[in-house]
Amino acid sequence: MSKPAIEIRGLGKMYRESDGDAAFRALGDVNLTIGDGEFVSLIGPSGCGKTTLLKIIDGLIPFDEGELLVKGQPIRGPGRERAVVFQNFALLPWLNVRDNIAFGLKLQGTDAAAMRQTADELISMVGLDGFADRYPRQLSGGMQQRVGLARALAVDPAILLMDEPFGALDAQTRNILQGDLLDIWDRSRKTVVFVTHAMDEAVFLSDRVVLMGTHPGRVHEVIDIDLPRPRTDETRSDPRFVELSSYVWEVLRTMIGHPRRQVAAAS
Amino acid sequence: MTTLVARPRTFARVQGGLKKVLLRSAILVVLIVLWQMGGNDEVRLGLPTFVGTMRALGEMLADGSLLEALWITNQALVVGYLLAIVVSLPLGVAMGSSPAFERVAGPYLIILQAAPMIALVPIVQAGLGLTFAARVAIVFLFSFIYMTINTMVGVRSVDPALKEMSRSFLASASQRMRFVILPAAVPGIMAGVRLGLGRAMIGMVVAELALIGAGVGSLILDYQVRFQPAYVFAIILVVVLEGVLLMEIARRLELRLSQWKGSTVLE
Amino acid sequence: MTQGAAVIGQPAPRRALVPRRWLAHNGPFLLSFVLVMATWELLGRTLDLLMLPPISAIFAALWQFTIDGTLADQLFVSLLTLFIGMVISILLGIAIGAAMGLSRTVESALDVYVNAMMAAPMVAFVPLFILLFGLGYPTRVLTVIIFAIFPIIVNAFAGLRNIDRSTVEMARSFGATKRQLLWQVRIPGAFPYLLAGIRLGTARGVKGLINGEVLVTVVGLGGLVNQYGTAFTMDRLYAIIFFIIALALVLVRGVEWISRRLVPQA
Repeated sequence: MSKPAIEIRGLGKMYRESDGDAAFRALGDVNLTIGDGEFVSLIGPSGCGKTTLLKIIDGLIPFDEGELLVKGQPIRGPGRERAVVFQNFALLPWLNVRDNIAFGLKLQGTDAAAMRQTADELISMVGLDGFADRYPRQLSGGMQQRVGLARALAVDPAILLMDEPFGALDAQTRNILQGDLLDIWDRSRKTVVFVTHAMDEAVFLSDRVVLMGTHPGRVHEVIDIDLPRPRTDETRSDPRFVELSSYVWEVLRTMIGHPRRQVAAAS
Repeated sequence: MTTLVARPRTFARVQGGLKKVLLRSAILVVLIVLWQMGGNDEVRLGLPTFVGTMRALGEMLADGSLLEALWITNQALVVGYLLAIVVSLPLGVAMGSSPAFERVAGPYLIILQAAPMIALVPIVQAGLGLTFAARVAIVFLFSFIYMTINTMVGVRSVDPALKEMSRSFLASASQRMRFVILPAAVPGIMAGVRLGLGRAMIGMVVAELALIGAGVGSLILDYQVRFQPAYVFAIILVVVLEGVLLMEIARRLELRLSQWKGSTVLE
Repeated sequence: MTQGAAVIGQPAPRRALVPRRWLAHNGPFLLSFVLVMATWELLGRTLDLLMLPPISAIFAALWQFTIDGTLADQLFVSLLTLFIGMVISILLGIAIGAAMGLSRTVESALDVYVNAMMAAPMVAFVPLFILLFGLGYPTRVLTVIIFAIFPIIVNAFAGLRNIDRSTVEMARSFGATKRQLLWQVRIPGAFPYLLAGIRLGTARGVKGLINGEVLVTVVGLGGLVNQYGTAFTMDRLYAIIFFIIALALVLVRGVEWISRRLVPQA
């Protein structure tokens, strides 16, 4: 196998209070290696820094300690080989679906014809045929996130970073999108880092689930998901799926169950 | 499917709209009748009647004096207002995108915003005399502060998620400004442009009434010193009507350009 | 965030006389302000322009006005005008706004006119007021009212209308009567809007006051502007203008402070 897609060694991140007197350690000594084409979920109680870690991998947030390599190279800010699907979609409300999807390409200076072609292909891929000229406010949340996904895929990144992408959606929409995401992933086999707070979602999608703990944010446990692929709705009733989900839930519950920690996490 | 849902609502809206128009017209008729009955054209310093005011208006329209005065007055409005737009928008964008600049320049704007601009008229007069330039300067002073503040707020309140998204998709600073910040700030900027127009019109009237007699202002003062309230009232009505019309145009323009910020209802 | 291992670094130092954060935030402005004043003084002394007297002469004039009682006399006249105008604006404005908020009929009858007059250059009416009512209090009070009343109407209306639907449903499900709904839910809910309207109205009312006085030409602080403006005694003119700006800031901030005390959530 070639070089791992992402290597994280001893990574730490502080947040300084604005007056500079105190610092808050958001992440400490995070170690994680993600292989090429692997689907990995980050899950953990609020305050574990899973979103922070994702944005560090994208290069949106700088880190203070340790090392982060993407395809064996240290990163300097966001790059072409990585693209993010954002939590609240972050669509530009004044652009229609097609132009939103082409946004990344437009920034790269792609010519109009190629841009349109790629955008139209992706519109079909994410199941938005006939909606190319609609504006985000005319779409449901699920459809908006399909646009978000298509926009990330449009720049053809090797690594897809997804920040609680389905967190704002209702349960049915979420299930459908999970299935569609796996279909798309099956065809492209991009590396995916997927932040979520839903245990079943993490188990259903991933090759490995990374459970993160708090104070500071760190890798608590990595669980291999040995469910066979392709995964379908039947997978959700597989006894092994149920078993893995309840295991993840148990670990999370013991972490959150600490009343002291819960207070600290909420503050 | 949308038409099926929309039709009864549209019908109800038309019905409600008709009732509204009737109500509003009724109020207008009642006001005019009360005005006619309460006025008295015989007394020199009494409230002129509606008919007397309309007669005065007709006379001034017929001899061309009102139109000429409006023409002179509006020249200062147009030049001063355009000048204010040209200065305010870049200034507001600069203040909105640079916190350091905003910290230095912001307090001056707050001070000027609280200041009654009419008090500055004598200073402008001392510098520029009783000239066209002086009237332009006063229109400018009245309008540029509101436009700058609104542009600044519009730029500053651009959704940080959109800025982060554009950074993740490798937007350069100028791309971020052109493709994300400026379009997102359009509603704020347009609100400022509309408010600034209202202020510019106040400045236009004030400039002519206080000290610098010209155009509509000098026409008002002419009839004022001759104790002819019907003429004064007629001119005021025209000025107010112009203000209402211009503001309505500005409001429609603002609505059109800010459409994407509107409702989430399918149309 | 002040407990456990999450926080590192030293405990906060004792409070300095001027908080560091305040200084870091306002320092650049203060520095620029000093620079502006110094430049003004320098240019005022060297250029000898009519419209730019040295800042020291302006403050000397301001001091003179303070000790000889000129300011105090006219300030009283101005504040009385403003006070009467604001009381009428608030009472009448709330009454009209509430009527619009509580009745759809009143709303559709009046909203066009209120919105139109809120946007129109109402200052044009002052010459008519002068003609009809002379140069006394009625003209100046009316000027304050036409400036101040419309934001108060609009906000009182919006406060009664923009009530959270789920709050109303909650109150209904707990069996609130119509009257209880009005007094327990809608009116308290409208309070922050009302105060915002009064704040805006005061800011505009101060402008109306000065506009009225400048155009009436003989009384109040605006009268002084007119007096020194037409005489081109610029140091005195600037002194009055500085005082008016300071007064406007104090009045607007004062109303803000009071409304924050009255309604903490506003």
